[in-house]
Amino acid sequence: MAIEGSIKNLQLKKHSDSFGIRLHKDLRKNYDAYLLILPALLFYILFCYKTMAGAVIAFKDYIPAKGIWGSPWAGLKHFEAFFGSYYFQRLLRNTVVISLVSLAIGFPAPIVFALLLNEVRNLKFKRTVQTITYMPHFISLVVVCSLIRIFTMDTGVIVQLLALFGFEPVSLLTKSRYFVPVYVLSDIWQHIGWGSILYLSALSSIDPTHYEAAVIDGAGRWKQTLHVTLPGISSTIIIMFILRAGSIMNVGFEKIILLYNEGIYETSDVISTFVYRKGLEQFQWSYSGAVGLFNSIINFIIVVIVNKISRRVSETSLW
Amino acid sequence: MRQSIGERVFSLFNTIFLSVMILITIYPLYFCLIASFSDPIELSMNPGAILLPFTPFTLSAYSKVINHSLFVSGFRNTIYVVVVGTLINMALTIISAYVLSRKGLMLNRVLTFFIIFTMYFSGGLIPGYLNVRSLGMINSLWALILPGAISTYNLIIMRTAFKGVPDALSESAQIDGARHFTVMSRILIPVCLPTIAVLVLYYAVGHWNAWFGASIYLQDATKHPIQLVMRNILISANASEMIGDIGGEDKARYVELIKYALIIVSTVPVLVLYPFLQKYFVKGVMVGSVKE
Amino acid sequence: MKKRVIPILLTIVLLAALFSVCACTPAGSTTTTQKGTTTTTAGTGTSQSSTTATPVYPTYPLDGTVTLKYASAVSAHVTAVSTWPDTPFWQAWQDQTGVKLELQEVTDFSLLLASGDYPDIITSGAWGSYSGGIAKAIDDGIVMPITDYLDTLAVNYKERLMSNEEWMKGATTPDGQFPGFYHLRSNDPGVSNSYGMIMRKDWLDDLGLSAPVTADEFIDTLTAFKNDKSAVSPFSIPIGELRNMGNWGILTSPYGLVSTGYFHTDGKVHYGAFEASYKDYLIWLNKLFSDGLLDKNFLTLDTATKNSNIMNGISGATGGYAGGGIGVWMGTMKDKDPEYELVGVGSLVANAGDKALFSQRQALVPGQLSVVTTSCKNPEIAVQFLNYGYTEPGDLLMQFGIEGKSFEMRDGKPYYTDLVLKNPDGLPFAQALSQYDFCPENGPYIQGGEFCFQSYTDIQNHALAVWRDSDILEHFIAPVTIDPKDAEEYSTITSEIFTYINENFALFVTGEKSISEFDVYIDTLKSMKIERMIELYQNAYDKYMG
Repeated sequence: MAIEGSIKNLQLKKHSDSFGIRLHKDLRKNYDAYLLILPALLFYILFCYKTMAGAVIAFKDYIPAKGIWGSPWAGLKHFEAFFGSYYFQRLLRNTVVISLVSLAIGFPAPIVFALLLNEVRNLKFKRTVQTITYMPHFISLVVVCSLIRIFTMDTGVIVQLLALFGFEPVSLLTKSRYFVPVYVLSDIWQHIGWGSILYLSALSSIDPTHYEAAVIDGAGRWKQTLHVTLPGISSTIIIMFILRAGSIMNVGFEKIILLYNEGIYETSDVISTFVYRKGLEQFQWSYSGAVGLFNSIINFIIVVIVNKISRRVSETSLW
Repeated sequence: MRQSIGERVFSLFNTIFLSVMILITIYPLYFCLIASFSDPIELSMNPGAILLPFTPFTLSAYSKVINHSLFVSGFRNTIYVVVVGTLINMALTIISAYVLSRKGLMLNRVLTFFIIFTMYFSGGLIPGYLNVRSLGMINSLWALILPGAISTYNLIIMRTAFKGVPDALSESAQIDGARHFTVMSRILIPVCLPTIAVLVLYYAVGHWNAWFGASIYLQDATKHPIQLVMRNILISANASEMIGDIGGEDKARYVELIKYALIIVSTVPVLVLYPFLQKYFVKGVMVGSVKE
Repeated sequence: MKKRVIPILLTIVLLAALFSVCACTPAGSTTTTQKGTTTTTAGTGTSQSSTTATPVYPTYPLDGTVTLKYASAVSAHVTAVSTWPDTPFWQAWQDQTGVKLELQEVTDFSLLLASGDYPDIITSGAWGSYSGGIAKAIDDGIVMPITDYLDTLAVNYKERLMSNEEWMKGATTPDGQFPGFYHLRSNDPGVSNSYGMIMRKDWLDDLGLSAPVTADEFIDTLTAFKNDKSAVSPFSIPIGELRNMGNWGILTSPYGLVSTGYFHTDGKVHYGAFEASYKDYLIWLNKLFSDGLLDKNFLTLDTATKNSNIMNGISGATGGYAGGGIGVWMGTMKDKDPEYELVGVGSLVANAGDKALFSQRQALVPGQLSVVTTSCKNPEIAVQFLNYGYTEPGDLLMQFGIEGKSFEMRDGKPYYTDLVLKNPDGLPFAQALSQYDFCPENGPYIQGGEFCFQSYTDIQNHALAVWRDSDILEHFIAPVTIDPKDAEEYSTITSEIFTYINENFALFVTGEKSISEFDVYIDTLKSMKIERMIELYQNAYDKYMG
């Protein structure tokens, strides 16, 4: 107790000093901590902030021989070109649609899965389900995408199975209307098990007395889920949601470029794939930079908003 | 505990549903396995689901995969990146997460924002490339390791885990005069081992699966990691060949089988390691990530 | 005569060139260089440099102290067997030129250019797609033009260019600059044309059919393949190649459409995908698709699967090269199915007896270009090094490889040896040869027809002959360079238009978009300024034609 008291005193005293003096003291006292984090800061400066400064390329007409800073300014030319592009609306729409559908289905799926698993009483069966469903997470994207391509051909297993139910046997990746389902469902296939781990561990940390109390109150299983289980894992859900929301505009372009083709650009071409094609295939470096920057800004705004709402509603926040 | 009829029905359906999940998860891999040594012509003539391989069996696909020079170098490069990369990842992540989890440090709020900000803004493809280039890492495996030396996402998970350790533990040590490094290594790391195990897995799997960075930073095919080698074989539609075919005449016939064999050969190492790691998962991912 | 001409009369621009003459050419080789070479673009075939003294030919090997960084993609033929720097060719190239080489494999050309820090030499087929064209790449300070060296260090290259008008035109920018060393091709079969429709000959014979000539016959043949030969996808071809078949007019003549890309009639430039008759072509392709004749998976098909389809009887018709298609497929199948035989089928026509309007043709200057970059510290050495491929010994090295190994001389003529033709290790010809020479890959040299003549079978030669039987020369436009002042506008327009055309091609063929929307498609193209695009191309073409 005495120790705690002295620490409090110390803190009080600190607050009465000026900022400079407090900082000085802090640095002297915790210099080793700051030394420890130095390599990480170096990393962030060298690989993140230094690159970030390069985003100014979006406002330039980048000429390699002159470097980013030496190239002539272009103002907002590239942004205007993008907003005026024939494809602007489609890119924005696809990006948002794919994200939102992923969020709406892909986000709750592991939660539901965890809840279902949680209801399994046979531990051996539960363990088996877990072991097997975690597995696809460890299969690389390249392999998963080639699996998808093989299975969704008209002669592929999935299409042939669907055909038994009267479904037209077409190669799914040649029809734009099937792209989003294929993308989202394959994502769920790959990550549902792994994604549920987090919620399972949160579930296991719920105090059993809460359940006992609920049973005494006469709550059935469904009511227990509603009133004990869900509230018990809500903070996990919220943090995961914020993190997820932060990547709303970052639709996984690696997966899309491994899957799409020009016949289905209508639903599959997103901002990041567009940036990739412009920058790497068409030499339009500054234009590509402008589109990428636009994407980042929108993304950042979304995170800030979600974080704010969450802080207000649930007092959980990222920073 | 007695169960109502509704609950029993639910249990039944739940069991059926989860069993179907198992089937859906396993079948694609099983399909690749049996397809990889089936007769190529029979296989292409019989679309749809198959349960048994077609005779005559052939192991040609596997011998072609294993004898492919890039395949061996690809595996070697990937293992190098996974091991060295993950070591660096963990060292940096643990140390900086520790510092950020301390309460007494005045600069922590600033530092945290400084770091989290990078999750949402990046310079983009070209500036990123120019930066790696200016650091002299083009065509070097370091280009696959250093630019991603810390995943901010994982850093947050680690920080949260450290924060979840009761203050009393570390404070008492500090009172005894221990410096930060000692507190971290003697007290916090042992307590948070499960989280650390999970992060090792996150990072290692990330390195194992990465191909895009390699496709832009590495010029020599002999430096390519296995995933890039596979992408170039599995998913490429370039018809640039004018005369002659890549990999000898016989290969063309077995090309479908080679795809399956590649999938199997490249996936098996992970799946073999997997049961050994599995015990850490549930306990580990904890992730008290959870409490702020 | 070791005298140095005093360079008072020369401009500063020429100092470097002169210096290199003094520094790099052996005794007795002095000359006056003239900037006037830039005016030889008229390309009449007569030398305009007659005003200068006799040209100075670089002598090889050079002094051997300089190391050049050479950036290029590496041929798959080479990597199938070893790495490029380990091949006998790579060694011989260094020995014969007297230059040490350090290879930098190009993985992404766009990023390489974006870096601003270049290897000494970059060889790429993608220079033409640089935003603003090759002239812009010179303006942007990436490429060092070799114009000033043409009479000295690159004189062999210049003389070769002057022997052929199309070469000269193709190797010059609109403002008369020579950006570097282009891959040049002769007009021989197998070199200027090498791709076309390929069908199963044994199936045709079994069914008592002859090779289809018209669009309807084509459908009948494919239907017969499907019904009587149980071909799952009678016509199996990836989307990119199907589009190329349109660009090359292989399937379009029945609809009066020359090509789906650029072509001209009597000097007027057209773009096929903007023509009214393009609609009929799309309707026909859609019929192929919906009748199950065209591979249902053509949008996701990869080359490897296409190859296995035509070999395993999944398909009976596809597109391919004489060597990499017919040669490889028949070679692979000869042990497994002795009956298996392929045949080249010419471009389809409207009525039997007509001549096709168009066919596949490689421009004599296909656009693959080796440049000396502005980062090069020894541009004189680099220029001479690249010039070597256009000398006589260089020609032998690039096309035939190493004497006594990959070729031998008989009656003053080079012939490939059995080491490459019938490789003891069972390597295909192209792979075996790639260890000793540059051919068949594009590069800084002139590709002639011997490669094909000496290795092709009758079936392959027959295919080449029927493939090139068309009126193509009345419509063909060699790749032209857009005027630099229009280049940015042209790039901006095309970057959207080509995406739109390609995408809609896929949509119309699969029927995702009904053909009734064709008018909307045309209107959209207009709103994307396709007419302006064609106009700019017309200007460039007019300038090219002089």
